[in-house]
This record gives sequence, C-alpha cells and structure tokens, in this order.
Amino acid sequence: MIDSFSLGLANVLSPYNFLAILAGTVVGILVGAMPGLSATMAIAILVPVTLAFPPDTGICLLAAIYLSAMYGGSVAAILIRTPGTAAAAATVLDGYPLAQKGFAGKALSISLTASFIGGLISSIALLTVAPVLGRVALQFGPVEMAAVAVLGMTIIASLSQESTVKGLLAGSLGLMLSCVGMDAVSGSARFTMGNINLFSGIPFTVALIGLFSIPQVLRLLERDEKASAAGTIKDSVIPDLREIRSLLPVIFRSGGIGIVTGLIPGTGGDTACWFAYNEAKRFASDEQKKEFGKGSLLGIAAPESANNAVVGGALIPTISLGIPGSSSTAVLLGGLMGHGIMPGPTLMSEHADVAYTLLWAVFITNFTMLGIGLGFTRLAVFVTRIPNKVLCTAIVIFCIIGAFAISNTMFDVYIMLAFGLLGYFMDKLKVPVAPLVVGLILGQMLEVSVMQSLLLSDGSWLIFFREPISLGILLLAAFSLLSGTRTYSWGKNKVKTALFGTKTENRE
Amino acid sequence: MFQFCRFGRPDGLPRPARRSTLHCVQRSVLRSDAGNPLQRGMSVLSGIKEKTVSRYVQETIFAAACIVLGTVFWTNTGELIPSAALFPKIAIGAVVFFSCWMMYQAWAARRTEPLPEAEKGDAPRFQTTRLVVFFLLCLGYAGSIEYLGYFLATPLFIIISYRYLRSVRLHVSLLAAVGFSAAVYVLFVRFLHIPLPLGICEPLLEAWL
Repeated sequence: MIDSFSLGLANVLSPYNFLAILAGTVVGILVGAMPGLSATMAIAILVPVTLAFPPDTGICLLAAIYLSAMYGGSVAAILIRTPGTAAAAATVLDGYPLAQKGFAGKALSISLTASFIGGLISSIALLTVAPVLGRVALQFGPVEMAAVAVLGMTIIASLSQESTVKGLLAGSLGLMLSCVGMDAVSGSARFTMGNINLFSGIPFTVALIGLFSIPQVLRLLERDEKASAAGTIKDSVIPDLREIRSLLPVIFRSGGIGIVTGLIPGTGGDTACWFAYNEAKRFASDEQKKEFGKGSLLGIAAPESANNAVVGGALIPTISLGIPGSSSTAVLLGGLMGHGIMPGPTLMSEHADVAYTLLWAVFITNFTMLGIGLGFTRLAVFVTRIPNKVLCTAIVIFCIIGAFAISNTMFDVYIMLAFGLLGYFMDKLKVPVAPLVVGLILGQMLEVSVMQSLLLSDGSWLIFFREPISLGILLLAAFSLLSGTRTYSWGKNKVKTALFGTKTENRE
Repeated sequence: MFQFCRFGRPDGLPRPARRSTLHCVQRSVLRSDAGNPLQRGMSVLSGIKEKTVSRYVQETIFAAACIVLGTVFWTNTGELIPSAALFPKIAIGAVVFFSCWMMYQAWAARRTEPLPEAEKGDAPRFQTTRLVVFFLLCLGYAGSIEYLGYFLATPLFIIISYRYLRSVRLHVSLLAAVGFSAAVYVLFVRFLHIPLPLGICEPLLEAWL
C-alpha cells in the first residue's frame, strides 16, 4: 500500500499530470463560474479528450475540474446572485449581500479559503479511508459484490429528488440498457437488432455526454434569459488570516458534514451546502444569527467548505467499491471505463497507479485551486457575462465532435443525441438521471456477480441470504428503500408521537 | 409544453370541478416566438406550437413508453439462451413494475397537484419552439458533418444557430465560426491527434492535414 501511495504521489507530480491538474483547475473554476453549466457536464464533455491521454493524466484533469468547479460556483453566486452550480446555492444568501456592501473580494476570499480547507480535510479523509475500505472490499466475493451493487442502486434511487419510484424506475432502465451487447458470461449478442455498433454495448461515455450535456443546453435555451450584469471586485481577494482563524470551527464542522454527505450515494454538494448552512446558523451566537442573510461570513464559509468536502467523501465509495456517490463521480468513473478500467473493489489493487493518482490529484488540486483562485478570480468575472445562447452552440459542437472522436463513428453521435433527449425529458418529469447512470455502470458488474453466485450455489438464490455480509448489506438496501416510502414516514411519525408527542413532516 | 394543469387548491378554497385528462391536453396555449424573420419562418416550417400538458399525462406517457420499451426487450429475450436471458428479464420486470407504479402515483396525485407556476403569474416564459428548432439544427449538423465535412458543417452550424438565436451580430458570428472551428480543429487534430470527418473536402484537405 505504501508503494502505491508513493507511486500515486510521484505520478501526480510528474510534469504532464501536474499540467493537467493546472489546466483542469482553470477549466473547473471557469465552468463553475458560468451559471447554468455544471461540473458534471464539463467532465462529460472532456472525457473524449482525456481518452487521448494516458489514464492517470486524464483522471488528473477530470478530478481537478470536479473540485475546482465547486469553488467556481461561488463566483457567480457572490457577484450576480445566481449560483454557478447547484452546490453554491446557499452561498448566494450571504455572499451577494456582502458583495452589495462593496466587499465582493472579501466574500470571494472567504469562499476560496473555506473551499481550500474543506477540500483539504476531505482529501485527507479520502487518502486514509479509501485504501482501508478498498482492502476490506478485496475480501468480497461475487455474493457480497452483488449485494453491494444492489445497495448502491437502492440508496441512490431512494434519495432521488422527488419520488423513490422514479429513482428505481431510472435505475432499472439503466440496468436494462446495460444488457445491450455481448453477454459477459455466455458471449451471446443481446438486443443489438443486428447492429454491429451495439455488439460492445451502449457506448457508456457517449451516453454520459448526451445525458449530462444536451439537457443542460436545452435548459439554457428554454428560458429567455439574458446574461446578468456581474458586479465588480473593488477590494482585495487576499484572505485576512485573523478572520479566517475565527471561522475555522465552522469550516471544520462543515467539512465534516460535507464528507459524510458525500459518502452517502445520491446526495451531493447541493444537499451538503444547505445542511452546513443550517448547522452554522444553529451553532452561531444570537449576535451572529442576526447577520445571517445580510452578509455573514459564517454563511459563506459553511456552504463553501461543505461543498468542496463532498468531493472527497463521494470519491471514497467510488474508488474503493466502484459505486459512484454522485453524478459527477459516475462520469469520472465513466472516464476510467473509457480507458478499459472497470469499476469495482479490485480497482485499488489491479489499477493501483491510477486509483492512487486520483487520490493524490484531489489533494494537490486544493493547492492549485487556492493559487489560481487568488491570482485569477478577477478573470472569472468575465465568463459570467457570456450569454447562454453563445455557450449552447459551442457545447453542442464539443458534444458532437467528442462523441464522434471516441470511435470515429456517426452512430455514436446519434446515440448521444438520443440519450440527450431522454435526459431532457427525464429532467422535466423529475425522474433522476443519476440512478440511470449508476444502473448503466453497475449493470455488468451486478450481472456477472449474480451469475457467478448462482453458479456457486447451483442456482439457489438463497446464497445471498446465507452469507452474513451479503445479508447485512441487503438488509441495509431494503431499509434504504423503505425509508423513502410514505409507510416509513407514517410509522416514524406514529412512534415519535407515541414517545414524544411531536410529529415530523412526511418526505413526500 | 411543460406547464401543469390545476387539479386542487392548496390555499383551502373549494376545489374546482375535477377536470378530465382530455381537458388538460386541450387547454393549450399557442404562442409564437417573437423574433427575426428566420426565427418566425422556422417556427412555421416546423409547425410546432407550444401546449400545456398536465404532469399526470406527461408521467403516464413516460411510464407507458418505458413499458413499451420493456416489452420490446422482453420479446427479444426469447431468442436468448436461458442464462443470458435471466438478468435482462429481471431488469425488464423491474422496469415494467416501476412504470406501472409511477402511472398509479401520477394518477393518485392528480387531486393534490399544486398550483402550477404558470397560473401564479410569475412563471418564466419557456421557449419551446426555439428548443425544438435548435435540436433539429443539431440533428442537421450531426447529419451533415459526415458529408459536408467538419470544415464546412461546423462554421455553417455556428452561423445559422447564432443568427437563429440572435445571440450575436452577423460579423461576430462569422468571426466566431472561423475562430471556434479552428480552435476545435487545433485541439482535436493537432493536439490530441483525433481525426475529424472531412466529407466532400477530403480530396482537398487530405494532403494538407
């Protein structure tokens, strides 16, 4: 493990990989600063580009974009009252009022420092927890792996934005579509309709580009919005150390919240930022509470620390178990799959160089983000002024050329557009896209694990309940499903009413 | 297109008479894109009008489409050996089951559906015609790039889409077409060594590229 650790660090510090991190940081901050564009979309569009690089260089670029976009989101939130990413939504509440008072630079410096510290805490958690969890996961056989895949699916579906059923439907659709192509066990062609392009399955990277980029373009076009006039930064963006010291408790607490939120599949920066904001308000003194909503420094530091800490948390199950914790990590995993690296518990042993490079890349990106953020945040203000209509055409060209570039076939371009349309309608109906992506990723792993388990047990499904680890994980999966139902909320309310005489609100 | 019908009153006032699904579909709002002649012409050519369809109908259509897709997949499992058909059958079963559940949920939620934003008066205006025309332009670009080649199709797509969206002036769109096409070419071909389709320009450009 120590060897892999040092190998990963050496890889990250090699000139090409470090350059990739620098480039990814710049792209991430700029994309994050553009309202309407998300880190997931940027990663999806750039996956075909990374296929031309070695896997470790590609993954450094994508990881840097993921982390830096979290900070970039706050630039638009503070200056134009529009969160650049969903994870920066809570930053608007106090960031914009502070900018209106003429302290935009101060707000950005607090946001940058909180993002740096939050990201650093989560990187350390990632570097320590992921390898340990990865070693535990190595002990898992096909039975346990099937159970882990089921758990990943159920958790991400049950935490879906509107309804568990929609999440489960999206996940099942993903599983069904993952069956297209050659069967991994018997080698027979399935659902290919005689099309040779489908023999290797639905091209995963192409589907990701379509699902995350085209709906974004259509959403930008849908609303007849003009670019907002961005505020200017009149004061210094260099952080005041005394102020930062007083904010450290809230930054650390929010970092912890971010890591835990990121660990749970299906929840991400958008959940963590509100959670951390609420906690910061709850722990604040009466005097500080009055400042919330009027430009409180705590109200900026808490969400920014939490949303950057989510990155490390979300990557822990992604790297150690092969279960993506969010849409962004799913796309990141798609980037690895494009290089022929399959997700799963063997990722950290069979592809230790790439896995540990990713861990260190996240760590190093925090420093590049701090440096570039201090020096070039003023430049990021300009990109917030680019009209959406100009961006849309550029994104579509990147998507079409990128989809074509993966295997030099126009078939992939049409698949990408079809998935784009599917993603748009799913978004409109509030059917979450993340479970569909997770289903597509985990489909093959789940099928192979189930078939191997059934071979071990002579076709008996009871094997999944006989193994204690598998049984425990499946019970957890069942609980995650139940917790998303009305019956669970009703039962919880009944118990609470009986015990304390209070009621909680239903989820649905 | 994606605005919802009102079925209930969350403010406690008496609930209006229950409306049929047909009524919801019929309550369509026809709008035309105010804009340049190219925009209006393309709207007329595409013949697309914006309609409000209730959430219930939309969800039912989506679930029904999933069931149809599942059925198509299921019929194909007959040709497979049992071991290869087992997992797909489970996945298809799940798709059909959850689709039916989603249909039921949509049906059950009809009465309690919240007041749509469109009827509150502060709804954002959705540009559905623009959306459909732009998607058709994307399809046209994807379809033409193989025959016209990257160097003709991309600048044309940039100029037409910028003019249609009225995002920038003509001379700016011309400059953007040349600049952006060149930048993408440098990134993909010169830097990443990924070939781009040359189409009818292939004999001219092959030696140069």
